[in-house]
Parts: sequence; structure tokens; C-alpha cells
Amino acid sequence: GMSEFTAAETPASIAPPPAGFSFENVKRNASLASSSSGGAYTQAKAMKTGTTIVGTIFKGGVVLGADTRATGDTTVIVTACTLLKRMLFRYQGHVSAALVLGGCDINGPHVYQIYPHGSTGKLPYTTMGSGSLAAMSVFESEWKEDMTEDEAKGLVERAISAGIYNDLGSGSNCDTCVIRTDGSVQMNRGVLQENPVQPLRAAIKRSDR
Amino acid sequence: MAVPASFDQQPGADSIDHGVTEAPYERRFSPYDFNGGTTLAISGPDFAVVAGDTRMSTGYEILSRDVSKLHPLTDHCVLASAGCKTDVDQLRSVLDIRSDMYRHNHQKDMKVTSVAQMLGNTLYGRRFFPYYSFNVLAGVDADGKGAVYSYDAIGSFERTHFSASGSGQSFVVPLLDNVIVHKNRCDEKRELGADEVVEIVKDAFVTAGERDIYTGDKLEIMVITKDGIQKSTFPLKAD
Repeated sequence: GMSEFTAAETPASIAPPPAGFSFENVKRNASLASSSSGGAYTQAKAMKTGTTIVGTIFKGGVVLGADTRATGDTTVIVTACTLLKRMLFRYQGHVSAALVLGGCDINGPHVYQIYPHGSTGKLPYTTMGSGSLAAMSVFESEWKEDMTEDEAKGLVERAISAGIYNDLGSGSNCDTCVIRTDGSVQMNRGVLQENPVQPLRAAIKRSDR
Repeated sequence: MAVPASFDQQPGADSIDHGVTEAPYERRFSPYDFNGGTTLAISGPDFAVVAGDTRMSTGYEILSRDVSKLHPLTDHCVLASAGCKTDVDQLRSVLDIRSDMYRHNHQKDMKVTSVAQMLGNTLYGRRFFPYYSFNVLAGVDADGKGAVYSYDAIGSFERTHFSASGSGQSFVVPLLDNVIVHKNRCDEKRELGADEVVEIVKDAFVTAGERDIYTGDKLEIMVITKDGIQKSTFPLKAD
């Protein structure tokens, strides 16, 4: 439900957060932590978020690397969703971005839909965009629980194809991205390339041939 | 979800109504819908080639992948129209009736030049509630030469070497200016035969289909000579 989006600290206004560090509470914290307060208050420790990042130079340039897990917060996808919806709400819909957010964290795989005004929905499957009705018609006909990766990839390709052929706002090729619970990510650019123009051009008898 | 005719909005607003309004605006019923598509006609010394795609759409949806934009009015004259399909159908019906009446009264078919004038007059007859039809008339005139006439929605017309109208017009006209009329090129201009013009038409529609979402599915081509009309088709992309 909504409870996962309410954090311990909610800003009083929706104005952008101020830049820089605020030292308002330093004196107060120091006096609370000191023995004169009776030792009832223990100051909270800064939390380290586990991550591995590396960088090296080589003959032809640099290589940077990072792992794909931020273990400080175990509910990563909810956090990503919360950050996105707060930003979009702040812009009152003027940032015209409608998103499908997907990822895996300690609680398993998740899919969220995020609308330009900041509303969200958590669903097992979702579609967005001008071709969303065409794609959803495929999902609603063929989605089932506990699909294998190949079944899911095939279903996604068929749903995108429905948008490519039946929605004028969509076309050309299909890209997919698989994010697994073991942490691996596979980007498949051009997994479907059914609309090449080259064969049509080749069928035309030009005067230079 | 889709309504047949669109609701007017303030100028500058997105023409697809997503149901979310940025500012209050007055909704008015618009009697016109745009059903998309591109038409093209090119004249030659003894032939005319006229072509149109077969996609009919409204908004972002496809209504049909196989609807013809070409309509033979006589054995030597074809009308190609893009715009609002219902207005195009009505216009064709009116022209057919008037053409039949002419044949009854004069015991002969209308010549292309006469059809051209009749179409212009018919369109102007609805000057204050126009047929939303962007027409191109193609045929072979009394001397056997190819004839192409371009029209606007209210009947202004002119005989031209070639003409293109519809949603993909902007992509096709500059290409034909270069290839047919020989603009902006320094090499020798040479005469093009009917077969070569047909290939150029196919290339033009493949090009328009790449950049115009309303053009695609299939291309219909008619070649008009003094011996009659020959029809052929060519596939276009369906995305």
C-alpha cells in the first residue's frame, strides 16, 4: 500500500531541497549527547551504504566499474520509485515522463508504473505510451504467473510488436532488458528488427543499376 | 475511446486529446477528421502516373490498411484524394453523378480539361463549408499528352507537371523537384519514360513512409495512357 512511500522525514513544503549542508542542529546535538543531558540520548550513527566502485587507466583510456547493488537500503526499487514520483510531482506534470520502472532487490523482482504527475502503481505487468493499449491487449491475453525468462521475453516482444504495427506513434524495432534476481543485467538492443527499409529500396529498379 | 470527429482546442495545443487539460478551453464539435495518407501524380509526354498509399487512420490508430485513394472518373482520368474520407467519398459520388449526366447529355466522355474545371467548380460550390479533400487529378488530354492538376480544398486549381498532396506531401515534393523537374542539379536533364517514373514514385513513397506515420501499408499506382489505365501495387512498411 501507500505506507512504503511515507518516509520518517517528509519535507514541510514541496520546494526544492536547499543546497549545501545545514549546521542548525550541531549545538543542540552536542548538548544532548553530552553527559549533562543525563545520557538518555544516543546520537544516531551515519550509515554506510555498501558498494564497490573501481577505476583504472590503460593504454587506450580508462575503465570504470561498479557493482549494481546498493546494500545500504534493502528496498531499492521502492526507493527509486519514491525518488522519481517525488520529482515528477514537484514539477506538477510539466516533466512529461511516463515510466515503467523495473528491477530486482532483496524482496525479489518488481515492476512499477509512474505517471507524469507523480502517481504510481505496483503491478505484475504494465504498459505505457501511445501503444499501451495495443501492448496491454497482448499481456491481458497471454500473461501468466511464474513464467520462465524465455516465456517472458517472448511475451514482451509480442506486446511491443502489437504497438509497432497497430499504433502509429510506435514503430521500427524492439529492445529488451532483462534484470535477474541474481544481479545480472542483459541489454538486448534490436532483439526484433522486422521493419528494415533496405528490401523495399532494393526492389526498386533505379536508373543507376 | 476514439470519437469520429475531433474536438477543437486553442491554437498551439496538442491535437491528440489525452484527457488532461493544461488550461480551460472551450470544446467545440469539429465536423472534420483527418484520415491521413499521401497522393502523388506525375505527367509525361504521353502518359500520366498517379499513386496513393492505402492506409486510412484517425489519430494514432489505423482504421484500415487497404483503402484506395484513387478513383477513375473516365477511362483517361483518375482522381486521387487525401483528407477526410467521408468528404472524399461524397465528392467522388457527386463527380460521378455529374460525369454521368454529361455523358447522357453529350453522348461522349468528359475530357480531362473539362473534369478539371468541373472539380474546381464543385469544390468552390462549398466555399463556406468545404470538402476536406486534397485532390490531385491525373489523365491524358485530347492531344494525348499527360495532364496533372493540383487543387486546394476550395477549388483553386492549376495544371502542373507533377503534384503531391496529403500528410506526406512535404517529404515527396522536394524529392520530385530534384528528380523530375531537375532543380538544384548540374547534370544533363533527360526524358523519363513511364517505367522509370513508376520506379521513382515507389522510391518517393518508401521515403514518405519512413518519416510520415500516416503513410504506409501498400502503394497503389495507376498509369494512364491513351489506351487506358493500368493498375499495379507495391508493398510498404506496416509499422
